Amino acid sequence: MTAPLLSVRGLRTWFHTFAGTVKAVNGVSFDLMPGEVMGLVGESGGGKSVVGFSILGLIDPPGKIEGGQILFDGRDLAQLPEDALRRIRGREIGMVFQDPMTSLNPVQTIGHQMDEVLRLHTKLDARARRARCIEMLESVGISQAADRLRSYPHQFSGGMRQRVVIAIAMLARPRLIIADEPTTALDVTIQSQILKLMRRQIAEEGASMILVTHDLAVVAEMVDKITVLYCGKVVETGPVREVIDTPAHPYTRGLIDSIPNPAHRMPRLNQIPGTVPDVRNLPAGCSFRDRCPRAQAICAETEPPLTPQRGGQHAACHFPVPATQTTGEPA
Amino acid sequence: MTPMLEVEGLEQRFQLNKGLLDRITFRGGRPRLRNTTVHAVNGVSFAIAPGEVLALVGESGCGKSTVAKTIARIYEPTGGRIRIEGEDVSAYGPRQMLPVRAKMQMIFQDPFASLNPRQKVRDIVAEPLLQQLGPSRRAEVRERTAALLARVGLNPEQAGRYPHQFSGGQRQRIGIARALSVNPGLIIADEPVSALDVSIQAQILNLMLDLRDEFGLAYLFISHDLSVVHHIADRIGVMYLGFMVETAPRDRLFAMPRHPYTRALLSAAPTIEPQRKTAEMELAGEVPSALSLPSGCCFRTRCPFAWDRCAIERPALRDLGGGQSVACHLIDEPQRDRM
Repeated sequence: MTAPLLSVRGLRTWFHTFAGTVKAVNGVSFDLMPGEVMGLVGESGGGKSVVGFSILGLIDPPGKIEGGQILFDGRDLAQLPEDALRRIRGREIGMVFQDPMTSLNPVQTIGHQMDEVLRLHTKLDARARRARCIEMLESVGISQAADRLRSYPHQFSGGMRQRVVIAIAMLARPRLIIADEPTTALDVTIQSQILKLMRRQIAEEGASMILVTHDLAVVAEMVDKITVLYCGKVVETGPVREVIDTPAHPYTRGLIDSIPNPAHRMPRLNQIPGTVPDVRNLPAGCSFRDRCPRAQAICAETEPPLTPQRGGQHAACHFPVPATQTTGEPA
Repeated sequence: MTPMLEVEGLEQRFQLNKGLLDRITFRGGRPRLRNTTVHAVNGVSFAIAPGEVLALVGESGCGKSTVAKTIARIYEPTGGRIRIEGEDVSAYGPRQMLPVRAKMQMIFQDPFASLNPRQKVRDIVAEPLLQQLGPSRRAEVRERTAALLARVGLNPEQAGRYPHQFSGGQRQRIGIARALSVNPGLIIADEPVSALDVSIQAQILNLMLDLRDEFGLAYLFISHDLSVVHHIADRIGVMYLGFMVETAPRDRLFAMPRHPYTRALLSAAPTIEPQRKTAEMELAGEVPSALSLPSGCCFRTRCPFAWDRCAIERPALRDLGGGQSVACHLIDEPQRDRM
């Protein structure tokens, strides 16, 4: 068996604020194989973006990685000094963020920003760098690439800017791409173009990807496996179809039932009651128990560990949803 | 029966107030002034019956929110007619609009920006009603405010709090209570659930449908999310570049979309289903600028079927029966449809 490209073990990223410690990521573990695409999903406050930022070493005070390992190709990124991380970011791990306007520098040309990546991370000469930039822009579907190198970000539309960001992320041929809500700001027809492009680029380069998103439908079309976070913990993980078709955790079930599905319209959506608890003050036991239709006494006492379920996924629940059940309501 | 809302040939143009130097361009060595009229809405017509939910869908810049805001008379319409329960309000001033606002209220997208941060929740919810009834009936208004907060799922004891003490979903409930306070027949909801997490989105959609049944409300529901629209709407209008390109009852639109744009929109929407039901149809390119509309059909620059006629003649909305209307020349020449 091949070794995982990325192995996150018991990651804890906390933010120490005056109002208390926010345990944004609190014991998250997963493996990512070479060439694998994983979706990291959950609602606001689940900790999905913080996992991505932790891997990239982009946690600033008051945030701090309190514990756990981030093994990337054998090295623990959580222990590396900043200058070593800087050599990894951009070269071995590429990043795509939600808002292409804020991730590009508005006062530098696209060509300058692309060239910078290659100058820092490769030994190519100026001519070869320019050729690679043009080749990359063309492969993300930007025509007249040589002319466009002289354009500034504001001269591109939102969809085109996100293409540029993807081109920059892929320039140095990284082995891992972390994409945080890459299409959330885009219209649906543009989203579908960008998702197709990302899928093709990843496959061509044989890279792995972590797709951080709140949109289960996007995940369903893009990823091989899925990890669901709730209040900083993994509540369910497994192959994408199994998790979506027969979720074992009541939270996953609730999320899927909350999405209106044109193929099976219900008069009412099966909503999850209540709201996400305050992460500074989580209830003892299972964090989901206050909103869970299946909760019993033990859920308030012991936190359920991630255990194997039928269908090949793992879930952290004392009373997983049976496969035959299609709603979150108890049978 | 008089429709709750009737819109006829609605047009909305905006002037970009740019200075002379911004507008000046040189073509062939001669200075020209660039056109700065944004054609946001270009002749949109529809009607909503009492108790009906009509959804307008489309991508950013298609004019759906402008339609909503023009009907709510936040904007002055450039052309066309708006009738609320038969009463033509298109030329009404703010004072004349006041009694009309008892029939029509609006819910906004951003629950953070649409509530005054310095007003207590009870005052926010009471304000439209106080405007209608006058300050002498304050006691009655207070009672109704408490009942409304309870109805939308908030604790009336929290009425003395400020908006920032509530979550996004709760704030949207406050916005709904405010809209309901005057007992309107029509609610214009502009992307009311787009800013919310899916589990909260489901709660708000359920609440809106419950309220519809309870109070017989009609909704004009603006959204870019097709699955949300499929859940809530009775009828759907698809907009592109300020034009209505197709309207149909919900199930008909999803089962047999006729306009190429509707088809592309449906096939681009991601789904959690393992297999897609619609044929894959990908659009190249992006929406043209509303500063200079394409000649003929608004969609021809991205349409995979477009031919010379589409550049010359602008297709009108035509009734295909079954409540479906489409603005596309393919209806005349179905042999050109190669999918």
